[in-house]
Amino acid sequence: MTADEAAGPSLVYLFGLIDAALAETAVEDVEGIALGRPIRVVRGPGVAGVVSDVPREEFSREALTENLNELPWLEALARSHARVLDHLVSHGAVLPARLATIYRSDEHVREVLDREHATFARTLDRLQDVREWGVKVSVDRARLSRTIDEADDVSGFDVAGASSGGTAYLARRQREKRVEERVRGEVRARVREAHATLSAVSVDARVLATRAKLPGTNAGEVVLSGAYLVARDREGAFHAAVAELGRRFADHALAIAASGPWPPYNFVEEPSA
Amino acid sequence: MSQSERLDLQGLGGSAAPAGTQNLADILERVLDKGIVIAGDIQINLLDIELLTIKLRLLVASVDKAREMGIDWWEHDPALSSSAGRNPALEERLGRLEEAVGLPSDEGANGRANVEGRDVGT
Repeated sequence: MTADEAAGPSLVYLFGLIDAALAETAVEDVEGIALGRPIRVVRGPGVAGVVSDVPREEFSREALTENLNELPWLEALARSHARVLDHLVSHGAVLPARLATIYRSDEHVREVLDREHATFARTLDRLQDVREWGVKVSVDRARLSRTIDEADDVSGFDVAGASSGGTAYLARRQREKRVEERVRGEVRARVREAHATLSAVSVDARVLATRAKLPGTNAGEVVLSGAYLVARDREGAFHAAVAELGRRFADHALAIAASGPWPPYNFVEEPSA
Repeated sequence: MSQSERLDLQGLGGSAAPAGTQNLADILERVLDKGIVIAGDIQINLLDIELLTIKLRLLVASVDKAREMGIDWWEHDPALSSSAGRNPALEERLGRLEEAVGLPSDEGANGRANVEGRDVGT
């Protein structure tokens, strides 16, 4: 068994990559995953990996498989992972690694850096002085339907003038369908408006998959989930745009909210043309 | 719009909302599913990330909904707050909670993440 494959008590957990030149300042006395194990760097050519030691008994392949399926353990790990990345992004560009990317030793991390540093350096270059913001637009569909229905200019069928119960039912049903179409059209238009407005003040933008509405919760139905990469000196303009959209949307039973700032999780790939 | 998704306007253009206060679902959908894919010696199987993400969303929503309703017994029970090993009692109760709030059960779907990589020993 070679020295670096000896069964030591620790494995190496990778948080992300930074410019090697920033390595000294970025890695202050910041706690890693496990108590008492600070973050440190593994240097490659121009790019450095930010790591911390983690106990083998929790992070070996078998232990990890068990632990990832325990929500409290996973929550603690995810929050630690995010906390370290938040710290790093305050010092400069960082390429977030995915949760639970683990190495046997620093040497193994170095091998990856030696192989891929050119790609990493290009991506880091693109991510200077920007932060990711999440934006969600949600709709209260019932309220929007009522607003449109009450506006009463839904073309179609004269319910009050219908002579028989059956005709009245059909007329009502036709009207409901028209209202539904109008609601869908309104939501589509506002989503397009929000995404276009925010993209215009961003360096890059992504539309993310929306989660299905959960029955019985108070949360609105999310109709747009977006990630926006915003230059530091345009953050004021970005948030002014969010606030303005909020004001315009209020009468349409739509709400908009931003989360962040985040490290650029959604922007590690080359931007779409 | 749920409370946890509301913008913290004090954070505008300034300091980050600390990772401890951000919505767990927002954090998980980023750290699990985004970021660069670097070949590690051990890492989560990419094919299972989606399954795990779905399962977690349901679980997180169940827990959030329960808390909203004032149910949080597991946070006060030392037997349930241990994170060592699987906890069938907790999983069963959470399954019943999911049913109670009308969420689809994930019975039959293997939502367990698989971890791949060279065996570095236990």
